Amino acid sequence: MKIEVEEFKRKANEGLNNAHQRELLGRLPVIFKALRDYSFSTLADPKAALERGAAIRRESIANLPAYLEAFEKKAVENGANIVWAEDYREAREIIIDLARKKKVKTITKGKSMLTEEMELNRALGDNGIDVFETDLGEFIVQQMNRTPFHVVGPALNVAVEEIADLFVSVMGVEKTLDLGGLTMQARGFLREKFKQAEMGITGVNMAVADTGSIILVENEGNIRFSTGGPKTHVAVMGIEKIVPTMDDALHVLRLLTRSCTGQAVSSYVNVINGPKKKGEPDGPDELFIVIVDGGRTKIYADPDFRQVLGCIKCGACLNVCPVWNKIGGYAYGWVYSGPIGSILNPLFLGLERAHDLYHATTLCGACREVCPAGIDHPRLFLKLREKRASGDRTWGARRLPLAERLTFSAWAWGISGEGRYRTAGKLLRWMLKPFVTGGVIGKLPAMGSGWTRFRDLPAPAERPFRRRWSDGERGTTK
Amino acid sequence: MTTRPTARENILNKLREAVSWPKAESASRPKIGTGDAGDPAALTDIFETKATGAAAVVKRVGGISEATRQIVSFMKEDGLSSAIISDEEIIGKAGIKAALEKAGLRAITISSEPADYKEACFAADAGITGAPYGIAETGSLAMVFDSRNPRLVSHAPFCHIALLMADDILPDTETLVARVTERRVPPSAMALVTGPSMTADIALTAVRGIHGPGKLYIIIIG
Ligand code: SF4
Repeated sequence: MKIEVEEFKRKANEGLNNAHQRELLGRLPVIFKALRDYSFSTLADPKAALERGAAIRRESIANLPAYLEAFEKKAVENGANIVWAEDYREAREIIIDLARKKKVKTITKGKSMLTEEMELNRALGDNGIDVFETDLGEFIVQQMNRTPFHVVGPALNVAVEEIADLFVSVMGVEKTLDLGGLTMQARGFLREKFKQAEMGITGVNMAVADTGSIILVENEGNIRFSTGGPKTHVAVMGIEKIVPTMDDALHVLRLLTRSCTGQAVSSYVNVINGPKKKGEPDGPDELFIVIVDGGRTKIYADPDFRQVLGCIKCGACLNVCPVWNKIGGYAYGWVYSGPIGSILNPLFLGLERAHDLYHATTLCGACREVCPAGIDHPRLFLKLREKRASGDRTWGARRLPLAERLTFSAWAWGISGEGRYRTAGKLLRWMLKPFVTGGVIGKLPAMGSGWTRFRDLPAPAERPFRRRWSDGERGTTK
Repeated sequence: MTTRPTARENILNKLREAVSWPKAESASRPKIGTGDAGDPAALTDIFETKATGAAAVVKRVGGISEATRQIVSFMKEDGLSSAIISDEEIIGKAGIKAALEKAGLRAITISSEPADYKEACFAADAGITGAPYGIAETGSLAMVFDSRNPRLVSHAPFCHIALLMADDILPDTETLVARVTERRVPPSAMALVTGPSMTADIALTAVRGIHGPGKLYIIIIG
């Protein structure tokens, strides 16, 4: 996957100018909101349920190392193999090595954002191993070689016509525009892969510390096949996926499916404790759980950002985001988009590289309101901006250029003295006058041009407020 | 495949060395009622409503022989000619193999074709199994997999027909987990099944039967 976080402005513009996408984004938030609202209304106390979810995720993260160890111990008792990987490369090598040793030719894969982060599919492909994404949306994205448009619906923006043509070229089928027909074409094609696959790779939604179980949530049934059919099941999880107890997991599950798709529960919830037992005709002979750091301990070490590890990747914050709902998912240029992407992409890729993302937010807080993990997105956006402004080595943020710092220092000095403020105001009114047309300033030269490229400034008032106040113009609008 | 010796320690040490969060901030966890499934007498009704809402077809019957007849008629109505059946007690009691064969349908047991087991699951029109438990809160079947009720029988065919005893309907998943962990060893895997397989990945439109069963029949006995 190409990393294009630097291209935010260009790609946001592309999104805004895409008529098909605009039409879709016009409908999307309405649908998601209705589904979410209804599903939450079936809980006794939705607000308390969200609070409990946030508390569980916070507790999981607060005591992460202890819970990871407890999980490992239990999972090993249940017969799973636990393998730890410090970075993406190590995780990829572990999996490729295993596939080679087991002479694996075909792998079916469940949707996993972490394996997208680490570009596992490309690496497997480079090693001559056929890997098929089997979640329908993810399959389409993989075959088109695109980034996910939405964490939950990676291809929900792709036009039916385009998918129909894709299926013709990938599967050699007759072209159809019928949605049922397209679905059956994908079913037929991937069924053969499920039959052949010697290995299934999936992500993990939750890893339960007190039972050693992993929980995988899905609607399609592709994960049931990938975990139940092949001889080897490899589950790849970030260190943050832990929850303390099974009861905690069941509670988070209620919030996860409601926040994702507005369902009280998804079609399938897989609870996997270990490999198959003696006498079982299916299920994997071996279960490997790969626990990956991949930049997460670094986030953990910064108390300002640690809370973001509580995210359960439900996608609810995207659905309510006024920015995501205008520009779409591609603008964010990497695995994650929307409010959560504006935090995770910079933390994983560098604050400098991805700085447009966390600046392109309105701080409206709609994301925080729906988040089942209690993440305070606006606060994190501000933290990111602050760290970039003051420069931060750990996060790859240079200090702002001298000119910009000086401007802000001058501004701070200017507004902190009454006389200075008044003089500066006068000076600015006089300087800006030539640029006023029709009550607004539409275009400024030089340094000011960036500011006016996308917005108009209101023209300064003829008589400033301070003057009007002292002249006794109170209680009137003129 | 083993972990590089230092990887595990490095990760855990980095986490341990990170400054801990202030204690006061770790909030308490109120117990949350689930809003549904309060009245045990009404569990079957709630289950039926929820399962039907999730697009399963639910049929309530008085006894096991009626259940067997119902299976045959589901198969005939849908024009299905073969079924793979699980090896559970309830399936044996219901005499499903004999009933299907008498009706001119093909019945494959999981023990009859162990070598071709996987192939047989993919080839059958229907999979017939018991469901150890039902969950009223969501209308889900709790499939607890073992050698007699293995994973693919209920998942590979396009149609899944499940027999569920009314007494085995539990209020919620917490009760289910308590029930299952009473056993000495946990099952290798479980799946909660709620309605047929579904996707909305193309044009945001729901379509059934993308990978798993496109049809789910639940017969509640008692
Ligand atoms: S930040 Fe919250 S709302 Fe957004 S994806 Fe993560 S858990 Fe969901």
